[in-house]
Amino acid sequence: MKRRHFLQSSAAGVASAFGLPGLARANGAAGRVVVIGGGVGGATAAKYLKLFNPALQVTLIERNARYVRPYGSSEVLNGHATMASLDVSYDALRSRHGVHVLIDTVTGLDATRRQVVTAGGQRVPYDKLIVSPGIELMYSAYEGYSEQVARSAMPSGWIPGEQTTVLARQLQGMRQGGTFVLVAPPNPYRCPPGPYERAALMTEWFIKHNPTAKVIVLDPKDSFVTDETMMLGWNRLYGFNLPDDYAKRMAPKVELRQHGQPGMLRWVRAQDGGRVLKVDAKRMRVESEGEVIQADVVNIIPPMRAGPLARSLGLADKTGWCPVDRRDFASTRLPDVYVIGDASIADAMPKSGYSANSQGKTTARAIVEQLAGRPVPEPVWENTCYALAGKDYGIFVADVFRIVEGRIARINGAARYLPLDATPTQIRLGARYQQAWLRTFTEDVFA
Amino acid sequence: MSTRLVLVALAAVGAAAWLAAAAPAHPQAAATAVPNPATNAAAAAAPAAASAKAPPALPPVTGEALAHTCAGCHGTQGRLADEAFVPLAGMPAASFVQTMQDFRSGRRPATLMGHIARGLSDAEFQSMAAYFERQVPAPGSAAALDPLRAGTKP
Repeated sequence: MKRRHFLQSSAAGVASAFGLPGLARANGAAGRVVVIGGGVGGATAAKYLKLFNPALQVTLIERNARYVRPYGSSEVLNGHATMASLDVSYDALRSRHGVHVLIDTVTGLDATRRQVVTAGGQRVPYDKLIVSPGIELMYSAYEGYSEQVARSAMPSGWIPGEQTTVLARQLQGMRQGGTFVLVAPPNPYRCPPGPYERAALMTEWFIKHNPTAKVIVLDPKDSFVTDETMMLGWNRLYGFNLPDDYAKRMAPKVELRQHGQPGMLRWVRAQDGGRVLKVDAKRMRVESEGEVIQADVVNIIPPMRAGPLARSLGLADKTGWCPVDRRDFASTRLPDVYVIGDASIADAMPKSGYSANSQGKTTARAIVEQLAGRPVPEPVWENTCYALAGKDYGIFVADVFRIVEGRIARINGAARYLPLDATPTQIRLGARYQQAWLRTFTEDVFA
Repeated sequence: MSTRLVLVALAAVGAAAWLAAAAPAHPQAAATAVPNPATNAAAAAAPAAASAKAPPALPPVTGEALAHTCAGCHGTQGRLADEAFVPLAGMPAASFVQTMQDFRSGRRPATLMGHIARGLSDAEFQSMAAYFERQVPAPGSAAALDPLRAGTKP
């Protein structure tokens, strides 16, 4: 039985590679696609594979029985959401879409026989394999920091879970007038506006509950995605004064306030000494190039690379991320394997949930066409990131991407962000849409 | 058989290398926009003119595939039951095209739809519109109550 399957799928592979649709169909098998990783990229791919071709046999292999969504998880810190509200079930993928969801841990790959090996002792055969492994947080990037420290004294919470709960408790219980330090990550990383949204939401919360608190963002970068629109929100809401160069650049477009008594939020970028060198978890100290800060709560968002599975399966290169063929996100390192989501090298596409969702669909389409022996159409991707500068202050990123001269490029003009001269209505609507997006997006991926 | 398979695999990897060679992994830093080949005549003509390295042109993107890029907000197949965004399933094609053109020109105020519309051509609006018009609105959604929409007549 196993051997027959193997021969069938081999024939299909040869046929599609040579563009012989007749031969590919001749064996009657629609094909078996295995998806590893039940995050946004993997779940989207599994669902859309079945929508595109219900006859496909689609197996999603995921370690955890339920998904904890990272997008919107900073809202647990200010008490706007609960940990339980981040939970997403795989039931709809099973019952509505006919995806076989296997809760198991992948331990290896037999690329020659095209089988995925699991800790549960299964060998799952595939014609095509999609790997959506997400990110790994590099806790050891800073002297004095480790996963152990992240679990207790200085949580990260960038992948939501127990650390999110710990961080929420620390922030909401911080002494009056205490100092919260948020260490932003270097590029590239998951959810570009996320660290700054988190700083904003906590500043808003402190103003109400801990008005003499301080919030310091230490940054190894000199700029960030949505910087002008985010900092304009900070300027209006939290008494934040923009760095001179930003203020000068933005002045012709928008009226900025100059606050004689600056607010509690500070952004220390690389050129002002924002790069962190080491931390001392016992004494709650953070040492950056510019200063040593005695803190009360420290949230470190460490540098990132492709998830551990990407590296153990040999899909990542020396950059730590996974090189792919832009047309279908096929790995350039292993045949019949595709890498989507944050782990892939996708040029101008940010490492966002929306990007992973968009890639899941184009890769699902490519695989359906390839298995049927048809040519793969030109892919077009989209990205939308909503973020909050305050609970009623919504900003965003909006992109359309195509392949241009062999690279994925943005093609929808210079404007990516909320305009600086946006009306109060646009800003308030953005915040409403951000909340709605958390629902509609989860539905498109998992329901 | 197995030799052929290996050769096929190698060929696939080789073809892939053209697009994937030595890309810097700094997506956030690479945010500058380039002209849209679908809407920019000069850029569209360029690949045909030269570039011996270029692989054969891919079949054009379909309206359905473009429509799926909307689903993160507007629902899978545009069949949104949530009230927050406009459900696109069953929308008359002419309304969809007009709305997108108005977003693109700025005539219709938006949060981010103007930015999205500027990445798409008129022909693409039309192919997306044709797809959405064919979809049946989600039961119980506002769109399902609209007598002008497809699939809503008794």
